[in-house]
Amino acid sequence: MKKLINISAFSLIAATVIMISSCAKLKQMSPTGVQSQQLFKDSTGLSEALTGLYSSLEVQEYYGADYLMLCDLNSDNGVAGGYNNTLLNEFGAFSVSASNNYTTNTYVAIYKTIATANAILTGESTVTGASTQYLNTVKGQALALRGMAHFDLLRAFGYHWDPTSAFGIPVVTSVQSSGSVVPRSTVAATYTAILNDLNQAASLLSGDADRSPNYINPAIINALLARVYLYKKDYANAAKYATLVINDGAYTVLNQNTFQTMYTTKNSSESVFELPFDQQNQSGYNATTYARLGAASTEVLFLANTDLSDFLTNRTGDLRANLVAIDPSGSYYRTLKYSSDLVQKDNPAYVIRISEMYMIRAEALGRINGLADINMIRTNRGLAPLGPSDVPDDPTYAQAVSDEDRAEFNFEGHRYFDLARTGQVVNILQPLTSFTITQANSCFPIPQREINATNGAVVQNPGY
Amino acid sequence: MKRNLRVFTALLVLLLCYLAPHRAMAQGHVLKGTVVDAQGNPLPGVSVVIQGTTEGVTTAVDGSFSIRLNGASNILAFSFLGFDKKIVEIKSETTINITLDESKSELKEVVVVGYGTQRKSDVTGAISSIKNKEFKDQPGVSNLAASIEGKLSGINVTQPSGTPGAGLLVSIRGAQNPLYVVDGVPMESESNSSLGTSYNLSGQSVGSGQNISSISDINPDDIESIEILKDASKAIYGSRAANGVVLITTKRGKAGETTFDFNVNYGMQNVEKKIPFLNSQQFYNLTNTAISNDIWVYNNDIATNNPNPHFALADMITAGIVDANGNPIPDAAAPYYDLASGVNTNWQNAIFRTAPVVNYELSARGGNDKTKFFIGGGYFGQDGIIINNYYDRYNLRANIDNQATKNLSFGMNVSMTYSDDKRSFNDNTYTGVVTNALGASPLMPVYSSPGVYSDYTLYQAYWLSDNPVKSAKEINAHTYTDRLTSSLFAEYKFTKDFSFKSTWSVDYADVNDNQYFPAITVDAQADNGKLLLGESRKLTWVNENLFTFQHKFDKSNLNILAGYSQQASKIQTSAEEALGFPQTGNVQNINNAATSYNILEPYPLEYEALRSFLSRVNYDYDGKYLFSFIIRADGSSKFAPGHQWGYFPSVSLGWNLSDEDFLKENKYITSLKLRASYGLSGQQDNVPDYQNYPYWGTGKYNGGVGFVPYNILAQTPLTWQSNTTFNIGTDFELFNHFINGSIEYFISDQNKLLNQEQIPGTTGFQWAYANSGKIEDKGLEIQLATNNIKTNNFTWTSSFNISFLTNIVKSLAVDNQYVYSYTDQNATNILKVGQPVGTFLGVRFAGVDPANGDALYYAGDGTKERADQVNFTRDATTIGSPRPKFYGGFNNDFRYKKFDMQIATQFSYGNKVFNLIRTTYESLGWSSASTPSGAYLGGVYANNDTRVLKAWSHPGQITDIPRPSFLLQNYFPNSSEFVENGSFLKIRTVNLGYNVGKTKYFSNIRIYAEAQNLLTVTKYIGFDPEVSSTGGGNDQTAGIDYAAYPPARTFSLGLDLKF
Repeated sequence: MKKLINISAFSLIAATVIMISSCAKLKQMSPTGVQSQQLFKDSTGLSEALTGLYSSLEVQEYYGADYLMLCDLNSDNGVAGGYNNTLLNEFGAFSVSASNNYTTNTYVAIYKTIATANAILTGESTVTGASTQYLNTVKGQALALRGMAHFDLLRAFGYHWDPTSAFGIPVVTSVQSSGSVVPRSTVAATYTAILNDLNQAASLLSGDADRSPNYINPAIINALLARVYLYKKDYANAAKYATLVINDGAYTVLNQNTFQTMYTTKNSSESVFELPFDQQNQSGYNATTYARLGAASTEVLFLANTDLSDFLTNRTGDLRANLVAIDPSGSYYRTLKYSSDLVQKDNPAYVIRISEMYMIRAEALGRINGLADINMIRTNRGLAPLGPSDVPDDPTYAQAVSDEDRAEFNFEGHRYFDLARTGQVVNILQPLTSFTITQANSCFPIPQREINATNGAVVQNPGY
Repeated sequence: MKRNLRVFTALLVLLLCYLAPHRAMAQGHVLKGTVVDAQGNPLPGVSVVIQGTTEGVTTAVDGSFSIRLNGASNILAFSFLGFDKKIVEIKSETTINITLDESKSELKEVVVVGYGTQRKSDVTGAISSIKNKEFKDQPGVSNLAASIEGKLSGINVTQPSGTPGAGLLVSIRGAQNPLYVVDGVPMESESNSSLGTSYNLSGQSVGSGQNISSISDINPDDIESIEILKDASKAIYGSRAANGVVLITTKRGKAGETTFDFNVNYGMQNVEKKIPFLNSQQFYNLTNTAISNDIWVYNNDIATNNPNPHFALADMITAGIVDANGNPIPDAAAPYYDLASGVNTNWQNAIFRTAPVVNYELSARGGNDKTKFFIGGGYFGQDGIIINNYYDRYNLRANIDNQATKNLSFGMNVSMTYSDDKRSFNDNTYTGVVTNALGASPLMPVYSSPGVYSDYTLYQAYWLSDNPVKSAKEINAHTYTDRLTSSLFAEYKFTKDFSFKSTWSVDYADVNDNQYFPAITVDAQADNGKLLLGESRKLTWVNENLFTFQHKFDKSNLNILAGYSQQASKIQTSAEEALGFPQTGNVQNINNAATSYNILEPYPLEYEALRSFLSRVNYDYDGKYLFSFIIRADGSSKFAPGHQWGYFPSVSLGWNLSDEDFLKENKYITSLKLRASYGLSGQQDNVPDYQNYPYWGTGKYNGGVGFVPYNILAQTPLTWQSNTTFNIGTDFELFNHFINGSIEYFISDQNKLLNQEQIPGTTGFQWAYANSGKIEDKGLEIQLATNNIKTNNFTWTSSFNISFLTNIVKSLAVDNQYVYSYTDQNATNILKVGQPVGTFLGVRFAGVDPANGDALYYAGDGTKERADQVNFTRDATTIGSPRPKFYGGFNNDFRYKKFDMQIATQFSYGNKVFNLIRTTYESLGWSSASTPSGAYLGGVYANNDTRVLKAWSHPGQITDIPRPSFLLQNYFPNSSEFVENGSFLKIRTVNLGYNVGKTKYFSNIRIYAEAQNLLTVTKYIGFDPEVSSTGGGNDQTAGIDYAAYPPARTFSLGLDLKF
């Protein structure tokens, strides 16, 4: 009896142990994620990866707000708000240090877009059942965004104004492993890589007639090319591509009565490339520049500089002065460009507007031929046109272009790059801070963690 | 079968036949009596056995017994766990009263060792043990970790936050987050809520804030004992044991009459310390001083031809402190300080309060020799010392043990807890109630008119995010936790020596964060009311199957354990935001909101599993030579196939020297044991699920959804972290029980460190989970207990422990990693080879320049520079460590007749605190502008503490408080200027009790009074040196004080009734 109980108990136990031993499965795969071999199987997966690529642009650190707003803060347009936010104050005093978390996160976020594009470009080869045309469309968009991302990195972290400089950025054109180290390219080589991507994208998408400002199309690529050539100081090409966009016919500069509606509507006729947000996928522009009527300075991270307000109000008739204001109950200036959509918080990112094409061409064509393009913007913003006597020499013309850019694109992320491009960082910013500003402050430092993680293979910008 | 039954029946009959005449032959007489302890309390459950027989009884609830002496022997043995056995010869008495003395020999105690128990004398590992009697009756203690504070060597328990219900930081030999095992069931070591707990005003989460401790839902009074495995003995828990193992044994049923225990206590709490702040007039004076200093500095720069002037004349003109000609504007700031209003608000008085804490417990235990039970329930209610927050906990616990047959026993444990933690919003971070109160202007009233909160933007102090009283009263932030843990077990004894036990258990935790901001709060003014919801549900089941074999061969004892264990978990997390609420009726539910949306979580649904084989062999020869070998193999779903299994062996040896002939007769040495152990243990908790495959996760664009890469794999596949621990120790008892204790020395290496490795950002990722790096912990621990005085009426015992620990990073994949406590503030800590984990990062303060009062800092090249010349990355270096050089406790226990008193003290030496909140409340009249040109007379940063009255005021003055300045921030926040000595000595608890003893209705009544956090001796300037605003759960960012919720001092009274 006892033996029987022992045997039966023992076999019961043994059976139970064997039976249940498979309950706790050691091979576990995420039920909410997919692996690349699942994704790059057919055109459905490929299109979902492409959606992901666009979504990578919209993170807070990139076009979700920070990339553009930090660059305005690091200029005479912005002042740091928040509660003595030490990292933000570094931008406010134009003294960003290499361990700054904001630049670190933005740097990596932009490379995330590049990594996603590279994964798509590589993954396309395993996709079956998709037409060549579709594959080319995806490839073209991925290349264009990769080119744009490299350019966004170059103008933030590299010596973009000096084509002879060694301080370009690491150019990444293949899928990376966690141990891959890519040293910095020269500025010239970085420009070449960017232009290669954009030109290849242009030819792959050449037949595309869609002008939705939310997806890469030939006009957006031309606009990007115009911008890149301007920074590269290849003025002939800058003017050429700006003209292609201006003559495309899909875009118009809004007039003085309607231009403010571009900040309250989506995909206005000014928008060449605009990243849309919605309530389920919000942007940070409203929360970081406006917050609410009567907001205290602590609530807003990116305040407007008194200098910006003074600059605009001194331009008699410039209606854009209305877009920088002191809140009735406050004491600090704020931009009102993102003050609508309080609850939705889905203010779009204005990546490229048609006005920029006119301003690029104005700058590229110079004093004699460019004046009409400046006036195109001025007259649509409530200002009188400039005559040749107003700009008697090149420096006054350059100042007129610079002022027009500042008036038009403040809090859209242009100012710091424009100052760096035109060599004005020291003379404009030094009077505003007690920190010593040099030419080296014309771009941000490479994140310290990058230099550590690459064991010095990626070198720091001079002066940092 | 039928035949078996017949044999069984026959045996039963035979047995009865044998018993019946035996009883009839019984002779002798009936003896009655009671058994009491040294204080005269009745002792129920004492076994009274007639020596030489198996006959015996146990005492009833009032300690009484009645036994028939059968004449075979007239010697009675009285024995009870924890008391010395007493043997009494009975002559002709019919009544007898026996007093049992508490067992003084620590080494005879039984300790829990993980999958079993051992006599302390047989233990070969370094195990700290504490029994219920050493931590019971502590009103106001919600977390059991608090009850062992300062009482055990090698274990450092700190209270990083005074938030009611907040978790405590338990660090075992310098490693945090140990594995908790309750009644044999491994618990989740930490239950994080899925919401961030620190937000900036843009609604972005900027820091992790306070964690909620998973053991905070265990009532300390339900615990019988706590054992902590510190050395290689923890290898029995293999992969999860790297940070030490805390074994918690709860109370179980006892055979005998059912006894009830009702315990109630009530206390009042107050903030332990307030920081003295400037009053309205002094606040105004500070601004004026700062302004006149600035004008002096400007002129001084010109007079001394300073090549680096502090600011330009234009800056002073823009700021409005001088006119266009550079002449001072008299009383420039006066319009912004309405001193005539007479308002002088003390904001600490406005947010702190005297708050009650109450605790009720009722339990019953009893049973017979077949079935035993324990049931208990309790309520703990603690109001916070900050207005409007509280912690409520309801808990039930029950267990049953049944001896079904001679061979088969089974039982169950069940425990349920519900808690509601109404937290002080952002309780430990820089937008919280405390932080705002520390900066608020004294000129601002709490209410501008009755019932209307004053608008903080109309007063000075731009530091604020809202009126602190408004935040405290109007923001409704709750963390609700439901927890069910239950286990069933069955044990079958095949033979006397060989048995099998199988246990099935579940642990279900639902942590729900619910933070509502009404439209009148700044946080939700733009949104017209905002709700943040976070939910984290985790269900874990565990199955353990163990065979044990023990046998005594002559003088050898062999004990073998072998088993198989498996567990799996399902984790669901979600976070939602809802905006726009109606203003009628204070409705706050998500269905009331105009809009709501989900916040993307990287892995909202996770499954994980662990499978293990384990074995332990204990062998001793004659109790003198002890040997133990442990091996555990663990397979984890967190690693890819081929890398899933880790093997964790350990070996330990012991030698009971005092049993050797040459010491047996020694007058001074009662017992002496030497021990040594070496072994491996593992760690996988640092890695989230699904880091063994590359995944693409959700990405949204333009109303559609697709996939973006989520993670990147390290160069080599992930596998177990492997820690080696070497320990030598001794346990001793000297001078006839006068002193006992143990001394340990250990070296513990964390190898193949599982952490986030910095990788090049060109990959699109900052981190990959990797096995890289090595950290070494070394230490010496001494624990002593003495029986100082023992007379009939008075006893005095003491215990003392001290631990010296060092922690050092030996290698890292990437050296010099900056660690950010808050994502929008400068890095506060650094991981650096040669330094301890958690080392503070900052610029070295070079003192105040006596010539002009400038705060000076050392630049990277050793030269001195002003605060506005600092380049953080270039100049920052290591500036101290939050780790103490040594820590410990000294506890005394006095008993006089029916009175008893315990005094527990705790000390820590050499730990530093990075007091970052001081950069706000010692802002020296600064305007809060990031550049001098931005200074605004109405925008002074924050009110200051009274220390700034001693700031630099004239050339030549030697001081360490810099010159107040309005235009410039004359201090660099991330500098050693704000790193303080955090050493402390605390009188943690003083507990006085009186045992009324037995009364007509009660078997015992005890009343007691207690003071908690009675006294803290420290040089620390802030509230308390133990606080850590980052919760301290992450030892890389411990010791940062951003005005964490300060601790309370509590006075309470309690009553314990047994019946």
